Amino acid sequence: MAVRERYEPRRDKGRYLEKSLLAVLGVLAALRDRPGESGRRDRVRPELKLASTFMLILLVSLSRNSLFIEAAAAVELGLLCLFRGEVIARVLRKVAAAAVFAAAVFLPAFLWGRGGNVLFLLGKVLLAVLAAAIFSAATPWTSVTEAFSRLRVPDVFVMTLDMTIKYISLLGGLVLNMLYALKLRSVGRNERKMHSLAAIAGTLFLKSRDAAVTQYQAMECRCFSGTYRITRASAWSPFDAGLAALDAVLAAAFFALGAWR
Amino acid sequence: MHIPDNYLGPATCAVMALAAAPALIVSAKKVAHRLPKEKIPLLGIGAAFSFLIMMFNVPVPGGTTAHAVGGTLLAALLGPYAACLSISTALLIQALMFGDGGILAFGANTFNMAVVIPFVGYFIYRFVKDRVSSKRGEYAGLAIAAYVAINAAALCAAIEFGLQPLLAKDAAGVPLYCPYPLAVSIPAMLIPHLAVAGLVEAAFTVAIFAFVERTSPGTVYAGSSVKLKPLYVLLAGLVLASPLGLLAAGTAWGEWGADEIKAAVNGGSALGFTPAGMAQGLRFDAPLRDYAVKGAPEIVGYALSAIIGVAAVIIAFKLLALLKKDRGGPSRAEA
Repeated sequence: MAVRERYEPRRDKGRYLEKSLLAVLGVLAALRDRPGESGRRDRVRPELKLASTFMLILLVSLSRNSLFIEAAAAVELGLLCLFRGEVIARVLRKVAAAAVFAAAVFLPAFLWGRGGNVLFLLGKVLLAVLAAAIFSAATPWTSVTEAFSRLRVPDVFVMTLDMTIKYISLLGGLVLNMLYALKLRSVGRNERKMHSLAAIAGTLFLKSRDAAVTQYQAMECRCFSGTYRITRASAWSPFDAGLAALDAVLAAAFFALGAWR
Repeated sequence: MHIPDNYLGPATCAVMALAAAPALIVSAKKVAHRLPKEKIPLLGIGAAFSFLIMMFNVPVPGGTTAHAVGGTLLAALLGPYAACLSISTALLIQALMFGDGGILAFGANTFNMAVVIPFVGYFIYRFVKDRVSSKRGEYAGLAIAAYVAINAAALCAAIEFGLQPLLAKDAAGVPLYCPYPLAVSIPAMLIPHLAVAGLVEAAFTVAIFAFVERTSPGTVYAGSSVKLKPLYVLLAGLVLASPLGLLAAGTAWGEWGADEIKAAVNGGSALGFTPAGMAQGLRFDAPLRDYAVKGAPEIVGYALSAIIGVAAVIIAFKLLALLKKDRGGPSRAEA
């Protein structure tokens, strides 16, 4: 008893465990860290947001006119500055990632002396990514499915999307708990962690099969055949009208400038 | 009042940057410690205001133009330290995105517009406010403060211009940078500001201060709620009105490009040469140079520039506010 004991566990190779934990956490955070969690409804109709985003990306990618591109930049920056700081930072992080990737792709062209063109293309890429990121930051998942169904996208697609998102979140939580359990129980050096990881994947598969069965039963019980009916009243708000007017101005500018030429 | 690159010699630019730096550092520290979190977005809105107000050019005697800055307004609303940060951010975005004011001359411009105006204006405003009891007296004090402060800044800019022929000459005695001596630069800068720009600054300051006080009292008085909506509405109004700034033709005194200065008329005669330091100096190509978009009518370019500039300033400050939250957040405090 008088001898001081020092126990140092041997170094354990657990990097992959931590990496998978972080990856799952990242996906879950991206899914959960979305607007609309507080229960506040969107101020703009989601289908209008979706259509506007599609239109903006389309027009920006078709445009060869620098004036139109600058107008689109003004619109997007103007919208972006209305968000909270946290959201702006998240959006800009996505755009920065796209910028790095696009810059790497365009680098050879830049070195071969197509500087002006490359900057123009880079600007277009960034604007398209920015438009998508703004949409994603401003729209909760439930509204995305609502937007798809209002835009007459086939129900099968909407249901698949809806369930995928819900089950990524559900099963992700499950995996996370199992990974934590594995980490907690691997005191000292655990040589058999890889086997346990296989077991986790297997369990996940079994659980998802169970979930599919219960989902089907729940659908039957509630008489849900996969047809989405939207119950929300559809009065146009001033924000809707504002966004629609903005779309109209941009489209008119595109055609008036002959921006595709 | 935006001094372009190559008007001041490198030595002057360095000295002015050294003069402005301590003010900026102290301001950043004071704002980080004292300004409540809910007021940080106001910094961005303030910078956006200043950015827009500077786009309203008014014609002044002598065929050039001048503009208000809004420095005293921001100092009265947010305090001089926050105003200093707001205006320097607006100046930085103007220099980098719109080529308004030089990159090398950023220190000088910051000193003139972001240090002199807010601090001089705030001092005079407090001095008068503490001695009068009526609202009208306070507004009068604010107007006087705005008028004196912008003229003090114009005087600083004029002295910086006027010293150049003494500081940098070639072997033949021809000035390398700004060619006008103090005897020319001081009246050329001060007369327009005393006669027009100072009055415009005073009018802008009082009108907007009264509006903000009425619609968003929390901005002015501690304890009331800070309402951002009326301020955003005011900003949008200014953006829409910004092309009015184009009505004044001509370039502001001391803001000519290297291609313009040869023909610039001063005291009845054109200069007739381009100083060597200007012809060969730094040339930075800002993406939206002179608030214009290639191939677009001037009005459209000006309005688009206004939107992009305002949005950029607000986004920058919202991101800055985030940094402050992170620093003061519980996670770090516990650790």
